[in-house]
Amino acid sequence: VVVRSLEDARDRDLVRRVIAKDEEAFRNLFRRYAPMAKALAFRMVRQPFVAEEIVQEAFLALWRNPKAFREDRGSFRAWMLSTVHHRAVDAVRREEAWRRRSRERDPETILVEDVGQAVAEELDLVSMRAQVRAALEEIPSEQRQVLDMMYFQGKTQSMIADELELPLGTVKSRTLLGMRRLRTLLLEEPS
Amino acid sequence: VTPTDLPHDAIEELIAADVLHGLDELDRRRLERELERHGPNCAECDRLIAEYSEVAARIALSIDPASMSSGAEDRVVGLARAIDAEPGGAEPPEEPGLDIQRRPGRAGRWASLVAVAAVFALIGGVIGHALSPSGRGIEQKFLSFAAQPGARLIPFPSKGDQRLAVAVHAGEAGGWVVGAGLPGLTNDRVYELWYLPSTNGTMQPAGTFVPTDGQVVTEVTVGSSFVALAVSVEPHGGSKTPTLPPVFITNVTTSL
Repeated sequence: VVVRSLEDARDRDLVRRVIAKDEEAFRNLFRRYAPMAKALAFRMVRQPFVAEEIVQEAFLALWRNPKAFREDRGSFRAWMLSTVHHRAVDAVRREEAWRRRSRERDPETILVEDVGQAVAEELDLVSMRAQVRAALEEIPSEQRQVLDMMYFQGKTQSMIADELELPLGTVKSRTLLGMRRLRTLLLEEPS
Repeated sequence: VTPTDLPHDAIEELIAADVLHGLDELDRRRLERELERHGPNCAECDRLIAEYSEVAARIALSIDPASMSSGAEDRVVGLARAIDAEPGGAEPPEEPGLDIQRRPGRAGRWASLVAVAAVFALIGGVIGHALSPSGRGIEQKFLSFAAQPGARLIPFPSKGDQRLAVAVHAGEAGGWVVGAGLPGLTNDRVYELWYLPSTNGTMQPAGTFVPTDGQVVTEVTVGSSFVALAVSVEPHGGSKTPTLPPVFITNVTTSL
């Protein structure tokens, strides 16, 4: 098991305590990750109450079955955000079904997100956020476009190929190249 | 040949897209086959999954965090306690939503009383409105429904003081909508409940309701299974399809 940071080690300890039904550990993880999880869900579903429900469901799933987090397959943060992302993708694809039937959109349902800057500072995420944004700027725009559509808009590779009128193979290669580049930029220590 | 010696080019391409949840179904199955071929102890597969998962998480970190609503932490802890309080709560239910009575439990009067007490607590927690056991006949009828084994309470995300939930029995079309703090409607308009039978289906009407003093306890007819519930405001008598965007919507991740 590779523990990447002290935060990662602390998270793993908290999850072990959640397995033992430690409510305070559960609260701790919620305080720590709910705001970023909500931001991710909100970015995708664009409705704050739906985003919050997705986060709530993800944490309740953790409470029900904390052993679903596999320590050998990455950090807790990555796992939790992946869980939330998966649920948000489901919501987005269901929303498509709703939208097809709904005759008009209500702009009132799209609210401005409430930024929890203090939370970000507390978790020392500001510099990491800047690093990620810089890395995203550094990859070619056509790769960034594919990653954005896939991750933030919940589209599959074939949906993206259709929408951009590109061969599926091109979308796949752009995905891989973009992700490889981000991996290098974000995870490899500078020499 | 150990799993790590197997080529990883193809699997890397699949993993890189899978962590973004962007694989199509065929490729998703191909990834599962490849992971199976490499086996559960392939260190290289674990490394690729861990690293690309981290990359995906970092992409999420590119956006600013959003504050949860007031009381969100206490609500989720309250729901977690409710899960633990369920008979057989230690066994994690796979389906979302709240299982009021996951298992019938031991037959008898005590089990029924505990179930009814749990419903009172749950309704109070979910809709912020305590139903009286000696209240109106309609409330007693609802409580009787909700206390039966197999009943589930599916709350909509709350909006300020507005609380709304739907109680159903898995596999049955009958259900109840219960809520408090709902805004009154003008021009003879009504609230209409909808259910989505499947991801590719169309929204189906489940019944209309008009709150009294912001509160509602009324029977509805949802499908025997569904993947989402929604409520919209419709003209008097209801509509065949939603004419306005939902004022409440919730996904049920696993079909009932």
